[in-house]
Amino acid sequence: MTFIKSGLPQKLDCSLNVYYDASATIANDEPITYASEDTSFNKSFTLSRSGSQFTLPTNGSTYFLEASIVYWHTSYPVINYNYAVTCWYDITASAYVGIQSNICSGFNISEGRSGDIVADETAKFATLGGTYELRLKTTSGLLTAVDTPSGSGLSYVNARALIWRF
Amino acid sequence: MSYIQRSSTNAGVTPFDIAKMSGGTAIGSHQIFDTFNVSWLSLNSSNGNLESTDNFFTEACFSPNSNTYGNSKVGVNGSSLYEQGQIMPESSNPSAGGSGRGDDISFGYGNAQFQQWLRVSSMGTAPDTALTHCKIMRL
Repeated sequence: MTFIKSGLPQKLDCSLNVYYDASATIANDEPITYASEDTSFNKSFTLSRSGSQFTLPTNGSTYFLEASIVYWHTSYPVINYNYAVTCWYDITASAYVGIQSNICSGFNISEGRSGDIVADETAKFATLGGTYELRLKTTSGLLTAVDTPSGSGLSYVNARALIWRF
Repeated sequence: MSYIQRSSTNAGVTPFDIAKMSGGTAIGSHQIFDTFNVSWLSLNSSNGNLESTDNFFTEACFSPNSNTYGNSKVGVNGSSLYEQGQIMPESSNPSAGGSGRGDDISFGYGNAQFQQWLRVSSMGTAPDTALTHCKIMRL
């Protein structure tokens, strides 16, 4: 008979890569590139990356991808129902995969009413390996960038992509 | 055949937890996450930090106490912009949220973290403590 000791310290056995500095051509089905990686989390793992594409090795690990962008525009105030939908894209299968995200502009009631979906603001997908990129699936309104330009003020946030390995 | 010994204390060593603001503790104007379940986490009541001997990952989602207009940013003070979250109430005011908006969730990593409102514009400054929560994972 085997027992697990009461009070045994338990941690998640995982690694985490954090990416930022997002950019994209603003049009439907365009890839989003995260140019920089934050290694200060001290949990990163080696991952092949080329432009917008992440290649996850098939080695028995499970990977969880999650990413969000910023709906950035230059018109203020916004008076329309504006949104952007992102989704992970399987390069090999040429298909969208996982849970879509829907990010609205400042007119917040659009988030639950437009884009044919009601969704999280983060695109998510779990996989055992393969090559993937985040894509700007559909957009509406005044979107001019998928990340906040530097020096834009204290109220804003930035786009990010997290890739977990379990 | 193997068995896992049943123990009431095993619940305290799970690597997951959800912290709440149920205790009403504040550091200055900041309500803090003062209620959690796992034994490996502690609260530093002098500075509001959740602390552990190990590193842990947090995802905080704050709920604003206003539903008319405004914009707020949350996160760990001093963290990079891509680690922070931006939250708006549902609003039909065309100016709500300004000219850009990202995810609601802020995240952080380390052995001491204080998730908080970082900046609030045009809404009440206190979060809804019944709805605000922080997911914690010990890595």
